[in-house]
Amino acid sequence: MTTRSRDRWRRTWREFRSRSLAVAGLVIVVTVIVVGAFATIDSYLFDAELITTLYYDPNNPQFVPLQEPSVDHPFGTDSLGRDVLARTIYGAKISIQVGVTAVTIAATIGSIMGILAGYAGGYVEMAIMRFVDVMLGFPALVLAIGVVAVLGFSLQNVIIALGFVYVPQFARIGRSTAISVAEEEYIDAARAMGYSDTHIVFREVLPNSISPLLVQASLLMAFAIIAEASLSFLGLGARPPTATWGQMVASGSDYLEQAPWLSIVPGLAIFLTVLGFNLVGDGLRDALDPRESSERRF
Amino acid sequence: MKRGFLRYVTIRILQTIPVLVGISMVVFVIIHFAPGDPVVNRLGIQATEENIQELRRAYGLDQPLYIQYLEWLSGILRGDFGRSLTQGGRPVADLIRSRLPATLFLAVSSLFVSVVIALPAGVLSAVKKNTLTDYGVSVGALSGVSIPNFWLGLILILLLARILGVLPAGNYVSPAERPIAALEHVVLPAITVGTAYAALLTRQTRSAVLDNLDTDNVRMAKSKGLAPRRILTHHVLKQSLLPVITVAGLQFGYMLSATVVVEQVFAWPGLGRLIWLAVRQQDYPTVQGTVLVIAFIFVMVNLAVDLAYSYLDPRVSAA
Repeated sequence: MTTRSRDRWRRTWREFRSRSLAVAGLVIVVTVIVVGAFATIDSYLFDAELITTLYYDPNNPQFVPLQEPSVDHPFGTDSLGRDVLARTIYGAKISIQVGVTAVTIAATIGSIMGILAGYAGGYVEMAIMRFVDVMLGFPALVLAIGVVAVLGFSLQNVIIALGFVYVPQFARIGRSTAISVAEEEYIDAARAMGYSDTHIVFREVLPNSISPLLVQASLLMAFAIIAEASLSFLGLGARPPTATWGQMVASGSDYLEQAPWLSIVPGLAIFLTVLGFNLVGDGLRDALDPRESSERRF
Repeated sequence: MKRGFLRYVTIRILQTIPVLVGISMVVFVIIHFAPGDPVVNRLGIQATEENIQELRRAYGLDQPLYIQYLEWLSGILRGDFGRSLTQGGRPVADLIRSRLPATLFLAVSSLFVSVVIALPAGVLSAVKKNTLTDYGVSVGALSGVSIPNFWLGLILILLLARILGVLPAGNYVSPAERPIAALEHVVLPAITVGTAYAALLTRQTRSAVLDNLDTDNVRMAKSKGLAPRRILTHHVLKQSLLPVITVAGLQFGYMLSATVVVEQVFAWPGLGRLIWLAVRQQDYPTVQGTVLVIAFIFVMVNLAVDLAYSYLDPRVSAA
């Protein structure tokens, strides 16, 4: 990393830190990630011991369905007597896992396609951008439902579907930054010095496209998490007994009056997590480019 | 200007055709890779190899993929979307036609709700830039896009339908048959779908109004001593509506996605519920047809907004 780019990141961080909402978003995001990581460690290292003994034990005679919130079960228990807090913690793991993987897939494929289109121009650009136009002709969630319908209902397929439908967003950004970067003088200089196209794309164009792609990734995390929750809510995502927030809201909806916490708690978790990523994305965008804000993002 | 506009309309319509063709290809290819052999499914496991081959030929499934696509596409163009694998084998086109009104009614109502919230909120936020009000509206808008709509729907049902009992929890009533009851029943679903959309439009309205508050026109009007309210309504709002309408159109896909989920919450008999059922029952022709129709609506709304925009703002078509 050059000094110039290190300085830029330092300045961005300073800008970001000065925005209290962005910092609040970051706190939420970090908390959810830590909670999700905790659930992951729990099932790998402690063999589901910690959370299980703390919150859920099928052999326990006190395994009572639809208990109201209490000290033992801060958010009550569900229709099978499982602790809602423990399941919400596990849900965090799933949400983050889906969000990160899907966005990483989309970002990798999308930005490569976009940068290629912007840098190569001509027929390559035309072919890629027509494909992007077609993809953008579908409402994202509807296309994801179509893909899941064919692949089958599972967590993995939800990740594939979402990774696929968010490709165009990254391709667009990759292309526009690649075009603007390609016009810079240092690219001409690099070319004059005889560097290969691969070298120029990976060493010059890509690093300079990182920040807009990062903003987009953060905002799309918010979307991917809502989309995963929506698919799970519709019963098209991970299979029970896997705890996902969307599916928890759905199964709680049968007991809306009797045990409202069943739906309220996981829904609140989705809301806060998504809000966190939105705040971070907005803060990052403003920090990177304080002049412009509130562009279209969906 | 008239001429430029007509030319622009033609170009835009022509540009839409390859997109629609591409969409149909994507839908066709995705469904083509669906697991399970429709012929074997239909005949059952006892079917002989000959039976299978015969039916395969009868359905044209022995043809190369592109021929199958072209035949499928020509069927679509004639309004033949194939038959549902469930639902008593009814034509998919009939199913879609019977569900479309409910979805359109919900979408239009949601659009109304979101505009009614977004325009005042966005203008207020822009006029009172960097005050507590602006801050509040911004946080509210960000919360609006962050709320999962199915959850918001459930909360509204719990509070307003079950506990307070002031509104029905969805259940579509045809507006053509009982208009008043239809409106009553659409309120909660429309708020649920409209909230996130309102949040998007609020942000757009705010930035559009801010841009237009800072123009020579407005400075001139101010220096002429026009009342601030008059400046706002005559100069700023009119100009700000264009970008807001555009965003409303571009984001319409977001609204269509939202209805698909929210229809589930409110047992709303629209396209969303149709596609949900079809997906659950692996009724691929219905999934195919519904996804295609939803994408088609989305592209057409975009086209319409684009044309409206260029009609209202001649600079676009001249460019």
